[in-house]
Amino acid sequence: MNADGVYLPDGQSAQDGSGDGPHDVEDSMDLSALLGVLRAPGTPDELARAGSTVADMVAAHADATVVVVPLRGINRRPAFVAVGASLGILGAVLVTGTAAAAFSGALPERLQRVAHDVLGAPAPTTSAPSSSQDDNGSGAPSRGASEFTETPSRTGSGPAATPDSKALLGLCTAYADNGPDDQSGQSVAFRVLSEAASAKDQTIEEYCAPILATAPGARPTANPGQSGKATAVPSGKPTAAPGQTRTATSRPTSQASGPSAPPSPTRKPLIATR
Amino acid sequence: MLEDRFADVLAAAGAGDEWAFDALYRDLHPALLRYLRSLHWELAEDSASEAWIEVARGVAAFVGPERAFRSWVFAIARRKLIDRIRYEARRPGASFDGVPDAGPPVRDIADEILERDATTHALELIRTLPREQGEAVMLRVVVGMDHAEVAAVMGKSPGAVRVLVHRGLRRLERDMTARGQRSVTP
Repeated sequence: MNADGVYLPDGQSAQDGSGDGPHDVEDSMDLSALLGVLRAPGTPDELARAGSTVADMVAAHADATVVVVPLRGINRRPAFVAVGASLGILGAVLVTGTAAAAFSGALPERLQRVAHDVLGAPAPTTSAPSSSQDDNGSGAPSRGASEFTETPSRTGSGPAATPDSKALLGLCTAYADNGPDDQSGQSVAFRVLSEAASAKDQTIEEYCAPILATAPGARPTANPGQSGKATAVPSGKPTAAPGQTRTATSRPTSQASGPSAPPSPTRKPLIATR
Repeated sequence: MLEDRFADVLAAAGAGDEWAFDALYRDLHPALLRYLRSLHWELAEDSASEAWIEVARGVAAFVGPERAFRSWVFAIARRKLIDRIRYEARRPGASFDGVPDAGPPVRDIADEILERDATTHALELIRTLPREQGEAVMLRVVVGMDHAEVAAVMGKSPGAVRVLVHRGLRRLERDMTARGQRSVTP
């Protein structure tokens, strides 16, 4: 198509429409010769790969028309199987691990309760200190609450029910120290003793009197800040009601001699859980 | 071009006949290889082979005249060359300028003067042009595409192709004139 000696087979000028003057490249014989060389038939060197390339074309044509569709199906299947298997393994691990944790009681309380209801796993265990402290309604900090409930919890009935003798002695001693000034009901010692005394239709003083009396050599000391006042009742008789000013009939003798009597400052944290 | 034979050859190629592939290859491959070598000499041969493989895969579905078939083959080859250049450059976005091209192999001065064939010499001159000018000249003047076909292959407008062809030819002429004057100067 280009053997007529012009640059373009369709007879057009190579620059038609360029609008760059009347210049015509066909005027240049050197350029014409150059382009003629480039349009010449292929050389043996350029066609050296003809045999191998045509064979590849035949093979590619056969592959494109016969094998492509099945290969796509085969190639997609392993990916699908791999994803499915991975999800299955992940789910099995989650279920097995959760079940193991449930039957070992390691789940959080709510989850453990659900596992108990659904799977028959052990029921969740509830910590006694928190519930007993909540029952007291003291609203005390946890550290104070744990200190307070440590001894009564041994009885399994809570601090307000039947406090043991040491706890009662401490509570009564604390009340005796602060009794006249602590009638607001905010003191744990007051409330506990009040409940315990009410259960026996007694006042706190009546309730505490025999406890303080049985303390070996223990004599509550008068409050250093309350001169002339004392709550101790060495004789074991009930004294005045809370709030009533009492005059000490005898000076406590065990103020400095009773090693078993806990000094007042050590009891402060026990009841100061406000 | 195959012209009157093209329809039969295309049908046979679509059926997978080897002779048809051979006819298409021998008719188009020289111009295709020269076009690719004008862009990137070292990667042209492999890019052309890959293009022919892709042509064989899709020829059964091709419908159109011979000029459209030629444009389709050249567009595939151009894309294969760009893919190879990007692969060789190991970085996305590389274009024709992404991989250094040493051009035709040069053994020594004697070979350069005595043994280099005329086609290689002509391609060297084309490669002195700016890349787009040389590509436009090759497709428009050497391969024989019209402006619209060149524009479709290069991804440009026909007007831009006209400008590129014109400037490329003028520059070639100017350069060849300068070389001729230098060659006659004692």
